[in-house]
Amino acid sequence: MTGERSEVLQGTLDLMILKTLHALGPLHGFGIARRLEQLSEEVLKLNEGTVYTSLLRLQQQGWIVSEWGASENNRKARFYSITKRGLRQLALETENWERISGVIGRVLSQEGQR
Amino acid sequence: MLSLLRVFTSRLGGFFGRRKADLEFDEEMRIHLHLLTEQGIRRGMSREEARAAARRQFGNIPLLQQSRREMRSIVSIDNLVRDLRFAARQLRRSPSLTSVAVISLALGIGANTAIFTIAKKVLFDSLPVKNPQDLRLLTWVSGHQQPVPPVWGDLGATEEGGLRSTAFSYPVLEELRKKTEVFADLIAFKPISLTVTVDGNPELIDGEMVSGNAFSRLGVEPLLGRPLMPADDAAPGKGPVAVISAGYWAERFGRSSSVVGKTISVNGVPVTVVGVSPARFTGLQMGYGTQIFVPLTMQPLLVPREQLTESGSTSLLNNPQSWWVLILARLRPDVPEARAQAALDLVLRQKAMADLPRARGMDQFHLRLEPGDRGLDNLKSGFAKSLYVLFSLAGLVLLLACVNLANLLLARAAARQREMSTRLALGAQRIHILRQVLTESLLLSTMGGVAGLVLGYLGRNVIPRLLASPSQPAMTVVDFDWPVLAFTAGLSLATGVLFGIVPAWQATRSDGNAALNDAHHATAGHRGMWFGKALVVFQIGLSTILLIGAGLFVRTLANLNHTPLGFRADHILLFRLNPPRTRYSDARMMAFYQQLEEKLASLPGVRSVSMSNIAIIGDGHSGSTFHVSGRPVETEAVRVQTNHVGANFFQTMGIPLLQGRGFDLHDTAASPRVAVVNRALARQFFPNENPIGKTFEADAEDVNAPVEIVGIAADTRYADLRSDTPPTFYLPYSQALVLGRMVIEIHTQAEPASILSQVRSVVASMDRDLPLIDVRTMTEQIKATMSGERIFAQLTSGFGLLALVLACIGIYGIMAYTVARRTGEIGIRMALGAEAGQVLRMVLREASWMALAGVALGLGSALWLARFLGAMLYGLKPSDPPTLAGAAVLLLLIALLAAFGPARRASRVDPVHALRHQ
Repeated sequence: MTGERSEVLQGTLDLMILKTLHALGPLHGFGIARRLEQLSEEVLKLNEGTVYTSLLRLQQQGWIVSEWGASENNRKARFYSITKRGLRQLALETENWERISGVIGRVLSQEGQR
Repeated sequence: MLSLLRVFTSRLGGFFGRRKADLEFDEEMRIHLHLLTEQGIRRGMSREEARAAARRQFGNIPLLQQSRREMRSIVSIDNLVRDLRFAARQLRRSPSLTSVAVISLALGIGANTAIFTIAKKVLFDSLPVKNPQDLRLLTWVSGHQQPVPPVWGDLGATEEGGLRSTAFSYPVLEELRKKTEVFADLIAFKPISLTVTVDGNPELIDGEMVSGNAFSRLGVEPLLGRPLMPADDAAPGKGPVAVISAGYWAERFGRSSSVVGKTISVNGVPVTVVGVSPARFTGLQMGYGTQIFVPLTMQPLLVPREQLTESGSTSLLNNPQSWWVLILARLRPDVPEARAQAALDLVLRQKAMADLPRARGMDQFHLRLEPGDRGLDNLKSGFAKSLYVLFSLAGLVLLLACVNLANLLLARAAARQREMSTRLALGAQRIHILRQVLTESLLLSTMGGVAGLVLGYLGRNVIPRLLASPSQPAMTVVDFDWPVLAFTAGLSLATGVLFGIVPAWQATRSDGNAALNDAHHATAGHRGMWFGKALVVFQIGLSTILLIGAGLFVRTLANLNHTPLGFRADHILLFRLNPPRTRYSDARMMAFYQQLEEKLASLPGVRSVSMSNIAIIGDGHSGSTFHVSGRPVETEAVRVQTNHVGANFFQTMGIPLLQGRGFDLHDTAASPRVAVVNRALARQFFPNENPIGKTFEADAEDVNAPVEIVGIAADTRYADLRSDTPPTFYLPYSQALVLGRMVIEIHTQAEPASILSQVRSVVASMDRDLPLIDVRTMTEQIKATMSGERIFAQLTSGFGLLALVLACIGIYGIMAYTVARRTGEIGIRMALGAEAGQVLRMVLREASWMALAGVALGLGSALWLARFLGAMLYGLKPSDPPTLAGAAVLLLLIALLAAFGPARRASRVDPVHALRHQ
C-alpha cells in the first residue's frame, strides 16, 4: 500500500481530467476522482481536492462548463462537461503529450554502454 | 493572449460573485467528503476511520480554499494590502518625487475637473424636464431678405447666409396649436426682465412668460403651492398670478411658506404668488436662472409694447406684426419628425402670407424643428469655444503631468533594476512585480486625483464667474455631481495605468542575470535610455506649447488694455433705469428723464450728466439702416449703429466734436430732427463731401422723417474693445418718439462711488419703485468686458509656469540619472585625460539637444494649434514672433539651467573613485 507512488506532474492532471470528461461525458468531481483512481491503479498519489483546483482552472479557460444537477442516487452534485473549445485543446495537448513522451521514450530506450 | 483575457474576464466575474462561488465550493467539497466516507464504510471501516481516511485522501482543505480564492480574484486582498504597504513605503522614501508627482497631477486633474464640470453644463446637460429629448425648438429660416417685421428676440444668420430666428407671432402660435395631429404639446415662452417690488424694494429680475400648459406638460412639480395652469393663461390679463423659483424664494422670502398667496408688484401690476418651482428647474433657457414665471397672456398688462404695434394697442397677443414668442414642440411618437415639420411649415407659411401680404422673400421662408432638449440655448454658442480652448490647455497640462510622472517612475524603475532582478532571480513572478509597480503608480495617481478633486471643487465656480461679461451674465451655480466624480476617478485611474505601465514593464523586462552581473555597466548603453529621453523631449514640447499659449493671451490682454477708447473712462458713474411701460407713457418718460437729468446735474460733485440708450462698451448694439437722401436706393441695405443720447453726451463722455455742433436744449420734439455722425460714418458715406447739412433716412425704430446731420464726433469704441469703430449716428433722445430704458452717465469730480447714495435718493424721490440697475463705473464696465481675456491670461500663465517647473524637473531628473549611470564611463574618460570642462560640455550638449528637439516639436505644434485661437487674440497674430521666440529662449535657458547641476557633478567625478567602484 505504501509502495512507490508518483506525484502527479503539474499540468498533467488538467489533461487527464479533460480526457476523462471527453471519454465519459458529464461527471461530478467525485466521479472524476474515482475514475482517475481506478485508471491509475494506485500508481498515482492524488490529493483529491486538487481535482477541484484543476476544474476551476479549466473552467476559467473556458474548456469545460459546469452546472448543478442530481447524481445517480438523487443527490445534489455539480456536473462538469467538456466544451468545443475544450475538445480542441484536448486534441492539441494529446498530440503534444504524445510527441514529448515519444521523445522521452526514445531517449530512455537507448542501449546502455556499461 | 486570448486565453489570458478569458481568464481575466472570468476572474473579474469571480471577483464579484465571490461569496456565492465560495459557498458552492464548500458544498461540493462537503458532498465529496461525504461520498468518500460512505465508500470507506462500505469497505468495512468504522465511521470515524472512514472520515479520517476521506480527509487524508482529499488533502489540505484551507490551503485549497485559499488557492482557489487567489485563482478566482484578480488581486487577493492580502496581496493588495501588501502591495499598497510596500508602495506607500516606497513613496515615503522619496518625498520630493512623491510631492512633485502628486502636486502636478492634482493641478492637472483639478483643472480638468473644474472645466469638465462647466463643460458638462454648457455642452451636454439637457433641461431638467420630462423627456427632454422629445422636445423641438421651432425656428424659422429665410433667405437674405427678412420676411417678417422686426423681431423682438434673437435674429441670427444661417450658414447659407440667410436669416434664422426663434421668434413667432402670437396669432401664428394660435394657428399652430390647432394642428394637434402632428405634435403632443406646444409650449410657448418668452424670457423677459421684470421689475418686481417686494415689501417696498424694487429689483429687476429674470422672468419668463410661459403658456399655461408649460408646467404640467414638462412634468415640473411645484415645491410649494400650485403650478401655472391653462386656466391662468386662458384670456389676456385674466391670470395675475406668478410662480417664483426656489432660488428667488430662498433669497427674497427666506423660504417662508406664507409666500403662497402673497401679492407682489410686477412692473407695477399686482400679481399673486401661487407657487414655488423646484430648485433644479430654472426656466427654459439654458444656463439662466429664471426667477419668476408668469402666464403668457399677461403680456398686455405686464409688458405693454406700444412701439411694436401699428394700431397703438399694447397687446401683442392679437398682433400679427410682432414676432416675439418662442415655441417648444413635443413630438408625437407615432408621427415622424419630417412629417411634423412639413405640416407645421405649411401652417406657418399660410398664416404668415395671410398676415403679412407685403412681405418679401416669402418663398424662402420655412419652419425648421431644431433640438429642444436644451430649450433656448445661447449657452453653447456663447461659451463652447472658450471651453474647448480651456479644455485643451488643461488636457495638455494633465498630459504633461502624466509624462512627468512616467519619467520619474521610469528613472526610479531603472534605479531599482537590481532589486527587481534579485526578486526575479529568487523566483518572483513577473506579473507580481508588474502588479506591485502598477500599484505604486495607481497610489500616486489616486492621491493626485483626490487632491485634484478638492481643487476642482474649489475652482468650479471661479471659471463661470470669470467667463461672464455684462452682456452674458454668469451661469447659475454649477453642481458637482456623480458624472463629475466619475470623470475625475476615471481620469486618475487612466493616468495611473497608462503612465505606470511602461515603467512597470521596463522594470520587469530586465534579464535577471545580466542586470545582476553588470549593475554598473562601464559604458552604460544608451539603450533603454531613449524612452526616457523621448519623454523629456515630449515634455519640453508640451511646455513650449503651453508657454506660447500663455504668451499669446497675456499679450492680448496687454493690447486690449492699451487700446485707445476715444472717450473718457475715469470718473464716470453708470447705471441703468428701465421705467415700466405699465406706468410710463412716452411723454411721461421723456419728462421723467429730462427732470432726472436736471436734478442729477445740480448735485454737488457732479460735473455733467447725460444718458444714452446704449452704454458704450459692453451694452450691446442698436442697429439701423442708413440712406443718404437724394442718392439712389441701395440694393443691399447698409447697416450702421445708432444711439439715442442726452444733450451733454459728448461733453460728459469727453468725445471731441470734430466739426459742426453737438446737441443742445433747442433740439426738441418740435424742432427739425438732427443727428451727429461719427467719423467712421462720415468717411464711409461722405468720402469727398462735407456731411454737415446733408439729410438721411433710417429704419431705426422711431426715425420717420429725414434727419439732418449737424456735427461730426470723433470715433470711439462701440460695443466692445476689439471691434473697430462701426459707422454710428447719434440722435438726441429729446426728439425720440419712443423711449425705453436708458443708461445714465454722470461725470463726477471725486470718486464716482462717493455720490452714489445721493444719486439713489434722487431717483427714489422721483419714483420709489424704480430700481437702479447695473450700477458701476466706466472703468469697471471696461474691465468687466475683458474678464474673459483676463481669466485666459491668468489661467494660461499659471499653466505655463507649471509647465516650466515640470520641464525643469524632467530635464534635471533625466540628466541626473544619465550622469549616475555613466559615472564609470566618465571616470574612464577622465582617467584617459578628458578635462572637467569637456565633461561638463558633454553633458550640457546632450541636454541642449533634447531641449532643442523639444522646442522645435513644440513650436511646430503650437503654430498648428494657435490657428484655432486666432479669433480670441487681439492685436497680434497666432504666429506672433516675439511670443514664439520668447518661449523658445526661455525653455532653452531653463533646460540648460536644470542640466547644469548634474553636469557639474559629472565634471567632478573622481576617476579613481569611479573606477574602483566598478
